[in-house]
Amino acid sequence: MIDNQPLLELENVGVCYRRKRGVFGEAFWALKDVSFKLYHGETLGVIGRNGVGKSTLLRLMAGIIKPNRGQFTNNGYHVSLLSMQLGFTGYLTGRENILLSGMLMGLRRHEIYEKMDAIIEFSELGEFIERPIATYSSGMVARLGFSIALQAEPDILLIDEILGVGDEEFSQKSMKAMRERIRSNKTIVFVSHNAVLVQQLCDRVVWIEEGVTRAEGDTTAVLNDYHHFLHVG
Amino acid sequence: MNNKFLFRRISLALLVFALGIAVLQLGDFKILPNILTVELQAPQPDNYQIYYDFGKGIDETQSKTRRLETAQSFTKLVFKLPTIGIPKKLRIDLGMQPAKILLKSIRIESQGRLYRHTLHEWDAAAILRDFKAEHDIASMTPEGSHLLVQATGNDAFLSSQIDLSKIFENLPKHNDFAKNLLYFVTTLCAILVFFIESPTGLTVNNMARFGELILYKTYADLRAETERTYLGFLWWIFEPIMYMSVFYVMFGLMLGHKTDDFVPFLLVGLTIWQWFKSCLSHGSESILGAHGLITQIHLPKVIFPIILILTDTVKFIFIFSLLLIFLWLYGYAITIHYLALPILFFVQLLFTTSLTFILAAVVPFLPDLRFVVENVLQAVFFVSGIFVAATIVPEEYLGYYYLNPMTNLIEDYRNVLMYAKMPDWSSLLVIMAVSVLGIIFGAYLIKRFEHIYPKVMP
Repeated sequence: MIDNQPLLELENVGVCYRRKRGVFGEAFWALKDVSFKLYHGETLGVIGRNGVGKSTLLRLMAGIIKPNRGQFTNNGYHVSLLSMQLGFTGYLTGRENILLSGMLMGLRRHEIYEKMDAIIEFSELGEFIERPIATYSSGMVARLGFSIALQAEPDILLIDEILGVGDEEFSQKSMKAMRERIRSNKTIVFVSHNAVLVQQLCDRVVWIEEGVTRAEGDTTAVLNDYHHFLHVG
Repeated sequence: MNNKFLFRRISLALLVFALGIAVLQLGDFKILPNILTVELQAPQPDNYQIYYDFGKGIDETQSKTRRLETAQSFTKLVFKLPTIGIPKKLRIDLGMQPAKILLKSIRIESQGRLYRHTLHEWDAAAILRDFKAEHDIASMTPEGSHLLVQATGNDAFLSSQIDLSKIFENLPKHNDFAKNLLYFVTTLCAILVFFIESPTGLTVNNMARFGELILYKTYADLRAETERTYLGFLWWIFEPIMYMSVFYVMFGLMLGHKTDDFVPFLLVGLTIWQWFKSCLSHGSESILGAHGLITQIHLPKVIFPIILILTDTVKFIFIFSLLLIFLWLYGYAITIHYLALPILFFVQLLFTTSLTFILAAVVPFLPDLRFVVENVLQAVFFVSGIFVAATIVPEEYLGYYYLNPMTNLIEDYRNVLMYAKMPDWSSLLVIMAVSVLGIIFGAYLIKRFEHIYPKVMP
């Protein structure tokens, strides 16, 4: 089921920020000692409470930042964060924002043109697509953002928490699309503090607590440990 | 390193090298005599004239006249020679009245903005040896370190008796400084292209993708800006018109510069400066301003200053077109010298880019720098020759004055647009070389901090 060659490898990775501006100021370690491997085709869950460094971990895996200590290896794969409303500009029309956002995510212009109809269709914006997004309701912006984000097809997709957006109906629809994406044979890292979702979606789980890997392995076993920790601690 | 990769590297490096050599071959590095200075003293003010013979004989059109105003002390009369080659023969006319004139020296120089070479100097003894009194001169006798010339008529002159081109045979034919600098920069660039991945993070493979992104983002930014107002992009035309009108009314109508060329002189300077300034002040904040974006996705950070420079350049194109229209209405004609404009734009763009890259790289760590930059720009504004011509700068400070690349560029633009002259190529070349180094350094800095910017507080 899983290849032996990992796509991403993290060995005792630590990332530090400075509390104050610039290069001065006290160091603050968002990640202290994180180790795990990501294999082809799996959906890896990363679980932990708020503020344990999950976002930092995602940025690290997406190649946005580099570790201050330890070893992070990407064996040549295109990793990207599922980001909604990337580069959205209020004065531009929905269509222009699709182009801009898509290009920022790494799509080529002709690829976006090919997908344009599907994106507009999915967003259910209709005529509004030709108007500046500053005139949209926040639900409409969220719908457009999701529809574009869904089109990015990196080798490894990193998903932070939210699966569904918008009103009740669109939320159902987007949730369904996201689940389909996760269940396909794509390699995915899903970060959440929602144990139920992780249980449903993930093949394996990594549990991070205060910037340190506490457990890695079978979903049910790691989640049991996590629950036990939450109730005791 | 596979073969295809190596081949690409080698061909890129060779291409860079070939480009450098091409510029070197096409560039004008010849050292030609262009200044003739006669140092003398005479009892009364008078007109002095020199004739230069390039092999076609002596002719009134091949001459220059200068007036000696003071009779009190030794004075240097500076004659400009045409730079079409080395004259074969010189004739020096010593005024229109009989007089006892003391000649101290005759000097031939090659002078540019960046260098001043004395090619040959005749002292009193040498003048006596190489020049012959031809007409209306009773005697030439050495007197101390001077030569006393007794002019007896209204057409006294002396002529050189040797072939001047012989004197210059052994002198350096090229401006070695500019040439060596170019060799150095070319070689360095070729080496960098070969060994370093790409100082920007833009590689041949992703160039198309990021090129597309840069162009579209530029378009999107410009469009977003036009959407913000009722008149939209018309403001790119109205704003400079209003700006120019203020100066025209102020200086042209109210301060009485209606007839001279002060208003166009000023507007050329201001337009060029405005492009430089807006690129620099917007571009330096570009990486800092993109914080929201760069914490969500990995992008080569160098694209942000590039986008800002492009945006400001598009607006500059509008302003410059208006400037041209103004100049034509004012009475300046289109000349062959306009062909030099693309080169001027290119060099200025390189220079602007180098400074913008370096600032954009540092500003995220030191946002306070923005205020320093604003004020330094304001100070440089006043010494960039926007209000004044270089002629009012004392000669001994001229070398420092021309160290400012913007001074050179603005003067070159004026030469091309107003005075039908070509730019000073050698100083342009030096600006280009320094800018290329600056761009490589700036791009290297940005690349070096690529993964640190997302961690820095906005």
